[in-house]
Amino acid sequence: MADRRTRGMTGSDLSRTNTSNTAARALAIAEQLHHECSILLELYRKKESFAADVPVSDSRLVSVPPPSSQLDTRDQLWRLHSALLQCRSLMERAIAKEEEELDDGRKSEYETQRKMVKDRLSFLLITIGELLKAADGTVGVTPSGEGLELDGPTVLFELKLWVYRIFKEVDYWTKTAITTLQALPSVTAKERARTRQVRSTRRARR
Amino acid sequence: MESAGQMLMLAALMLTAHAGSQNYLLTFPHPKFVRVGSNFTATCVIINRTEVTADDLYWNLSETILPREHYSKINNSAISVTFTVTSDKPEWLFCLCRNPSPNIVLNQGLYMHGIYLQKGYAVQQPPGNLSCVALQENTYISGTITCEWRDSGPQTEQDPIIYTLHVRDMTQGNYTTTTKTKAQVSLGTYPNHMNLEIWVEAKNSLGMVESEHLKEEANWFVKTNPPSDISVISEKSFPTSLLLNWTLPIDKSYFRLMYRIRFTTEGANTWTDVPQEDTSQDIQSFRLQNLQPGTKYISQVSCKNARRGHGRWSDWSNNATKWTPEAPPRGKPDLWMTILGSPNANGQNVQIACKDPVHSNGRITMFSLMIKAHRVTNASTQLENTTEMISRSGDITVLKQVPIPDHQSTQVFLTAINSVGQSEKAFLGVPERGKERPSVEDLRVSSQDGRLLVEWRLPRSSEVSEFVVEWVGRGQMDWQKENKSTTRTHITGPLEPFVCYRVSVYVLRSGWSSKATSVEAFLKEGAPSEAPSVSLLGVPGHDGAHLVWTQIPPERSRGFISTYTIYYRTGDATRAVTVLGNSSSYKLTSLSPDTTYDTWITASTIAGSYKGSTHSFTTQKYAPGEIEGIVVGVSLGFLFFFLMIVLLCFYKKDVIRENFWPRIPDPGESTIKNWSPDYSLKADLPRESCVSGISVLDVDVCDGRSLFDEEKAGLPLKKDKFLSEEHSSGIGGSSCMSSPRQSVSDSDEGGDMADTTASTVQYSSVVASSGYKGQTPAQPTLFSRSESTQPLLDCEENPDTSAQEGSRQSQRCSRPTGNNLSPQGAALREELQPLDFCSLPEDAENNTPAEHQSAASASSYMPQLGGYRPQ
Repeated sequence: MADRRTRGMTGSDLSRTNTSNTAARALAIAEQLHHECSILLELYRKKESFAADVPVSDSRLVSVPPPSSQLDTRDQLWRLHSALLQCRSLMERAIAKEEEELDDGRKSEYETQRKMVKDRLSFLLITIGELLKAADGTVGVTPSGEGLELDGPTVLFELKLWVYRIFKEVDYWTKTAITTLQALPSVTAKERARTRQVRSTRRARR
Repeated sequence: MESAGQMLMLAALMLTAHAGSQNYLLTFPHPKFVRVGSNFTATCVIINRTEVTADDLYWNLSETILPREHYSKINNSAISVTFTVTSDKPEWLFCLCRNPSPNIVLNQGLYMHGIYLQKGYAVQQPPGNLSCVALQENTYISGTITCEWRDSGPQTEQDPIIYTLHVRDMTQGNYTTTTKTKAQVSLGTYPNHMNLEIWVEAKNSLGMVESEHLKEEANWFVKTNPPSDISVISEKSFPTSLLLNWTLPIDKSYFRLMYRIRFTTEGANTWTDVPQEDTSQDIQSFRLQNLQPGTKYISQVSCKNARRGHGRWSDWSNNATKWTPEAPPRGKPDLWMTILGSPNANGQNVQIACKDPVHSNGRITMFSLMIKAHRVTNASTQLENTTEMISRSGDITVLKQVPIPDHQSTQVFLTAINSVGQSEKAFLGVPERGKERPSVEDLRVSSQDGRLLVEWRLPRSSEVSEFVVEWVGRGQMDWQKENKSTTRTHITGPLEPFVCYRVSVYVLRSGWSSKATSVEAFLKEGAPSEAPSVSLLGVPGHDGAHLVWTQIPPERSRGFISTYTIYYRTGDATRAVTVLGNSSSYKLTSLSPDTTYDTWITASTIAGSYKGSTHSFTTQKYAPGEIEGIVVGVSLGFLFFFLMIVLLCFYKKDVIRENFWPRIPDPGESTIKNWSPDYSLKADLPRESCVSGISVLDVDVCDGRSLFDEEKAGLPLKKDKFLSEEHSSGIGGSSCMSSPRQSVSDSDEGGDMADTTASTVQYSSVVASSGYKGQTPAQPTLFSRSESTQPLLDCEENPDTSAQEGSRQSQRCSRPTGNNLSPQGAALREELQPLDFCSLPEDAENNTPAEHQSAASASSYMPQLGGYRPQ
């Protein structure tokens, strides 16, 4: 590894970038994921001849704590990370189920887009994980897949609807991620300001 | 320590070799690759043989024995060699053994061992200039990254450098190996917004080195497709503006895009870029402004990641073409008139042409032309208004041809019109012929850097508004206008090489044109494409010929003809004469008469020559008048000769007469008469009668008639007479003369003669010249004394008869004076008329006796004459 040199970001650069830009990158990934998820849904509807208003259950497939204004940034990120993580699991299961039940061996645009969404979801998870790590140094407890309907239905129509629900779930949590991440900079700024204020109060008391 | 280790290795090798090899030599080490440029040391060991020692070993590298100074003897049975590896080709290094003595011959197959040296280079430098790109595929960025880099230095075929391209994001990594300097790595889904680390590893058997690591966000490497669906909107209310719209090549969620826009007019070679700051935002449309109205514009758009330093510019989009709305023409049309042909007695014809205004702001559809002619002689003014439709030749519009008579000045006003409005009015004035103001001076045109440079000097007097540089070539006319301070300019129009251009410069003074100053020039000269055909002027002379040819017109000469070279050849001899390029004839001199010449002409420019066709001619045998001179000379010479002969004859007639008609001795004066017994009788005879026999010639001469004429007249008769002379006997057949032969031949008749003649007398025979009566005299007249006993001539024998005959002869001789003849003489003449040349005896033979009687009656000698008859 002699003569090893780097160009662009160094390690410290990366860490600084992570700190300052990871949120922005996470937001960008979330937006990209949302876009790709929309395409995936469109492709799936087209593939399965679903109408745009095909009735799906309003209930969520993933289970996370309810949103609250009381949650701090870290908790919001953790909640988001947890939800997205479940989404990825669901999606992986859906892909496996589809490949198991419905795969015709061809790599169509849908399959490409499906993989892209899954990968992008992973990128988003990684990025949010970085944010979590930057917030308190840990990613936190990874939620288990228990409680998730990972097996999926056995009836084909229900299976298709289940897959569609999963994609919709991803889409939902992607939008949630966007909303959360868009609010994140102000939150982090407030957090920083509040932290400074607490510290200065403590100094004054001393 | 090192030595001990080496010895230990030797021992181990010997044991190994002894077990597995039958060779008596063993070499080591056997590296996989040897670095080119490094020192390599090899050792050779003798195994279990005592007949050879290390001194007998030697090293052979690629069939070349390595010098002994590179050897190092380890012990009596081992030797090493150290050398520098220079070649990068694989080669064998052999350890060989020479025969230790002449008495021992080794099996060389057993006394050898080799090392196969495969070469390689250490990787000298890391792969440089690493650059990667991720291209857009459909609506997303392809997960395949393509990278390129600079090689890491030399390598060999045996040990090539293997490059490994590594790409790693935060979740995964991938790599590709290649021997080339370009590779692709697939990442599945492209990790937009994620960080990537990319590097290249160069490795071979002799080392490994890494390139710099690129650690950038994934979008840093992205190159999208260009914007699509470019549309251009033209709005009538904004003739100087076009609105561009396009579709994003990729969704905004991937990254924000910035753009660059460029545009140009149709036919132009350069693009105009829209400033980046105007297009660096996230836009999907842009309004191009400050455009030329009525102009066709072509626009293109490109995009990249808007983040500073990120992404690569996409390719340019397809052309988006649109006309801007038209606006009224701005400025004036470029008006000009050129003179057609040469001025004649009625004036001159000019062609009015123009170019669109610089800012035509649309398509000029017509021109409004007004011609105002002012006749100086009667101070009248004619006005002509016309509207000329477009008749374009390139960017020039030929409007009209108008005659401009002498004593008339002409003013032309022109307005360009498009669909929206009309331009300002352009003016051009042509003064009365002969009253034009002077033009520029010292006009020079030269070719410079593929263009024609025109230079001139300002005229001394008068102000100048602007200059017009006009050029005409191959029937095409063009012009450009220069401002008043210009004294040198390049012709801007497209010019062709090898074409003669007539460049003229005019001075415009308040729109009025001046005289032209013109020169001819070529942008580039070439060898002529043709040469004139030579022909003869008139007919060739006997030593010269006048050759003429037609000069090549400049439009076909492809350059200025510097010289013409005239070649003329006869046989193998070719001569050449060079004349100046403005010549059109030449007189060849010193040619050989009556000789055929081939002649041709070569036209030359500074760039080359061209040979014309051959013409043949033949010089004349004689010079003009030479034949006439010869004829006249010969004629004059002949005439002179003739005259000289005539004069000679005239002045030397006596001599001629003596030569041709020699004086025959007068028998009358001959002493022969003394021999005659009756000489006394003859003594009284008149003198002239004594030469009667010869006087016949005198008569002829005196008559002045040619003997030949007389001969012709009486040829039949004379012939008989001549014959009769030959056959006649000496005396009887001749009047006065007799040939000697005749005389001598009759000698045998002497007996008879003795019977009839009283006595034999000697007589003289007159040998007349044979030239007599036309015979060429060959012998001088002789008088020989004859011993013949034949009787003498009548005149000698009988003087009376002779006298009578002589009188008759003399009468004939005096014929020209016949008028004075006495009656007796006349009668005698009549009687003697047929007796020319004294042929009396013959006649007498033929005559009847009666006639003899009558003759006898006329002469008292007849009886005696008759006495000779029997002879």
